[in-house]
Amino acid sequence: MSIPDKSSPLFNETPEMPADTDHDKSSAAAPGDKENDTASGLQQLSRTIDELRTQLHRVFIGQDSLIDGLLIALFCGGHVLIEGVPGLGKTLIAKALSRLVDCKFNRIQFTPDLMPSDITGSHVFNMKTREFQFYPGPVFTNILLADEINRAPAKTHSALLEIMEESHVTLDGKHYEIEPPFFTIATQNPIESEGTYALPEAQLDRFMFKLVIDYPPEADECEILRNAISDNNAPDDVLPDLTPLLDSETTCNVRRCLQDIIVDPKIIEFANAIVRRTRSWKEVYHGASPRAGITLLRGARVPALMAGRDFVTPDDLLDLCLSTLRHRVILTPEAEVEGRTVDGILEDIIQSVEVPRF
Amino acid sequence: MTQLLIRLADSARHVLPLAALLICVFCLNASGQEADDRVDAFQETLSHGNYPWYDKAHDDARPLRTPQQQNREPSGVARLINILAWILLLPALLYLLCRIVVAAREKVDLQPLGSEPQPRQSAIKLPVANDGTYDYYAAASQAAKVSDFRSAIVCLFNHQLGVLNRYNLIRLDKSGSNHKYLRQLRDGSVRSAFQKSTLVFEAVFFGRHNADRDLYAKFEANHKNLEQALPKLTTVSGGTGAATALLLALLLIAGCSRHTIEYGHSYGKSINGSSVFFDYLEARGHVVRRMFDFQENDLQRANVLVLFNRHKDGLPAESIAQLNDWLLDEPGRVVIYVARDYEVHIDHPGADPKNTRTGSFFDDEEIPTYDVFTDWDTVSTTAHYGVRQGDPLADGVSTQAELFLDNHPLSVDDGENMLVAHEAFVVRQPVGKSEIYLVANGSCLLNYQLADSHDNRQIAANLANRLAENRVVYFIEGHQQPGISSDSSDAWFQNPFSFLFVEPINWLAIHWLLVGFMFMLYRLPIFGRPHDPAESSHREFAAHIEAYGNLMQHTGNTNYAGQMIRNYLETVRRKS
Repeated sequence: MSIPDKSSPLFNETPEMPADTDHDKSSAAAPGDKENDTASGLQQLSRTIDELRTQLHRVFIGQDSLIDGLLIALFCGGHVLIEGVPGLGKTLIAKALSRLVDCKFNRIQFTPDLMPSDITGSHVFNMKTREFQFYPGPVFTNILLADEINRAPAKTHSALLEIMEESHVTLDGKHYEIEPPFFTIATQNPIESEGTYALPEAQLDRFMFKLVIDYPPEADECEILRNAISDNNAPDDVLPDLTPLLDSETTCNVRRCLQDIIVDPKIIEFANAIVRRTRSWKEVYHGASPRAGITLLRGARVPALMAGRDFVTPDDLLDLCLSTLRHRVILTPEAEVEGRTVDGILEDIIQSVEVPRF
Repeated sequence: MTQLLIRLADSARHVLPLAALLICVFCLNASGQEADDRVDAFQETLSHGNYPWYDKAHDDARPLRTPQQQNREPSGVARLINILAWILLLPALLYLLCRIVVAAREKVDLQPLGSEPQPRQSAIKLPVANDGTYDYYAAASQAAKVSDFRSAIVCLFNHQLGVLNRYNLIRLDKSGSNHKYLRQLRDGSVRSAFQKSTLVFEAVFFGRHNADRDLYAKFEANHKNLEQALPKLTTVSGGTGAATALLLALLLIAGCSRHTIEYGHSYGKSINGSSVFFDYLEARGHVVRRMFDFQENDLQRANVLVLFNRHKDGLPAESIAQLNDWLLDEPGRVVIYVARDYEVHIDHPGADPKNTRTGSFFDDEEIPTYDVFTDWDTVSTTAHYGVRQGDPLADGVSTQAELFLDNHPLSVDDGENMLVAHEAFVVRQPVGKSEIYLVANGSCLLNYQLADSHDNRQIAANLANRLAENRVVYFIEGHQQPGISSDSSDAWFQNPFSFLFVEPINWLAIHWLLVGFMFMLYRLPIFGRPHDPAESSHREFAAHIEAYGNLMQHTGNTNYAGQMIRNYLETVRRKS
């Protein structure tokens, strides 16, 4: 993707009033003479992702930030950790997403006695062939829902997190590749701490985003209830009707297309400033790693693509800051005793960094 | 603020009856006298003046209630009106404040494009103009001239941000993103125009899109559209004006009762004022005006000046010299200088045998001598006044009096130079072809004294009778020490804050100062604009540490205290 040509139709059409998250989709990406194919490809992708969101909203009411976070992580090759109370539809959205991208979907309910081999699979001796045969576990899928991940012991965590990072399983010295795309949606419950094994910060860093979801607003919840008891709009009815909009290959292609989104050096400096500021902030005991900056920049390309732009703006970055950084920083004990929240401190940090304007 | 105003109003309301009571106490022995025609004119003046403290039927002051009586018997109607006024005043005040805030947010003068004021230094730390003196519009024009349209667009966009910030449509800060600013914009047309600008700016600045002359022209046209949309926001409905008028009216009603204890002022109906004498002179055919301090234009028109001294030290030497010059400038001019009572000192004239008194109104004392007008250079500071034996002082005006100036007796004839009654007397002192009337113990010319005493009326009538007909009389209303200035405007603003003490400005100023103070609280950057109030921690770490320390000290069980701390931290973590 290169610079569009001079006849940019920026003022040839009046843009619609922007929503909070996609304010400039209509006119920002102007096709250039040489890059028409790429530009039109991005436009096509943008429309597809838009449709993807629309379809997801058919079965999953509200929670825009959750849907956007999932899509961004999916297209960036990341994984998400969702923190929310039970009953908010985490499994439902994972199923819907797997149908829409035409991917395999598996769900693992993590329990304290879950062993690594329960998720990776194991070698089983085949009496007929007289040799060990690999029986793949549930991680051999495209979209994996790791439900209540913090209920499993540390060794199971480690096994899963290695798979998330490497996208392959090593068993008895043999590597078993997992077909891309591999997208893990892990969940954890914030209100029960008994019998859980908190994920260490080093492992949390493997998750691209930590998405915190809360109960839906009243209007959304009413709509959820109406749909649940209706004949046609119940999620179980809508789910089979979802038509795949992408496939595995296309999803991987999107990842490659994201490389065409321009990230200006000022944006890189901006992201770096935010990440570095977390390390020197007095209320933060442990700041974000460079991986956080990488994740920010990679993720910021997706909102730009969703908006139909071929470049990243500071807003794209800022929208991802909380979900990218909240699980990567550790507050000081003083800040915790004062009742400061991670999100509140991160907002302060973001507020302290100057947005590039000149 | 409301409580303060109520207290002020209450205190002002209580001062009047108290002052009146004191005067009543000191004047209980006042007796009615048979009045001649001139004196009767004062009764007529008082009757037509609608003085609240004057009883027309009895030609005397009304008996005033003491504050205690007022408390026991409050005026129900007056109290109800006051309460109603306050009930109306508070919402009106709040509404007006809201309107001021809204107007301040909207009503910002749109500068011509070429004369854009400098961005505020505190608005944003822009990379090029950290000192706040950078003119982005000029920079944009300059960049466009050299065909650097990318820079021109960037500069013009930053200029737009500055304009929107000055209109208080956005809150410009260094961490503000374009998205954030768009969310802050509520007006559709402004938002639409700014959104277009945002798209272009981001495409050019972050997206490395090409910027040419056409794009810049469109961008600039869009900028003009945005600025044209802005003045529409400044249209202020008549509600603000109506609210202001209502507020002013209510301010006058609620707690702003007239300050009626001013000494010597001719406006108002103060018992210590001079409006009766003012009205009396007017009734006699003179043109009577007021001037605040000495104003050159008014002085040129004036034939007679009436000056009630309100300062304990009398007139300054400069003012006396100026008055003398004024008297000498034109013949026939008159100054009536009314001195305060304490300007006349009772001496013990043992050294001067001429002051031996044989009979007077101070029977039980030695003969008093009066060191009159020590600051007035036309009368010797050694002037003495003596009274001949048998003068009917108690019966009214004395026609047989004697004045000593520098120990030289002056003959004082009836109707010539001297009027005496009680402790008051008037001295005529010629200055060239003009003259000065010095009224010692001048309280005899105050409103209440004129209503109370026949003698005082006699003095005032005689004094007025000395004036020629159809004179232009000016009462000097300024505070304390008036002075003459060659320039009338300078004279008026000799004390730049003197106008604040003139009723009703003094009352309005207090209220508007309060309103202004509240407005400044809103406007001053130190308080910030209430878009995003800063969050404050509800917990104090030091307080918790102290509490834990106390817990450990109280229980003597560090394990227990430590467990409590851990429980607390766990709770905090869950909440966060």
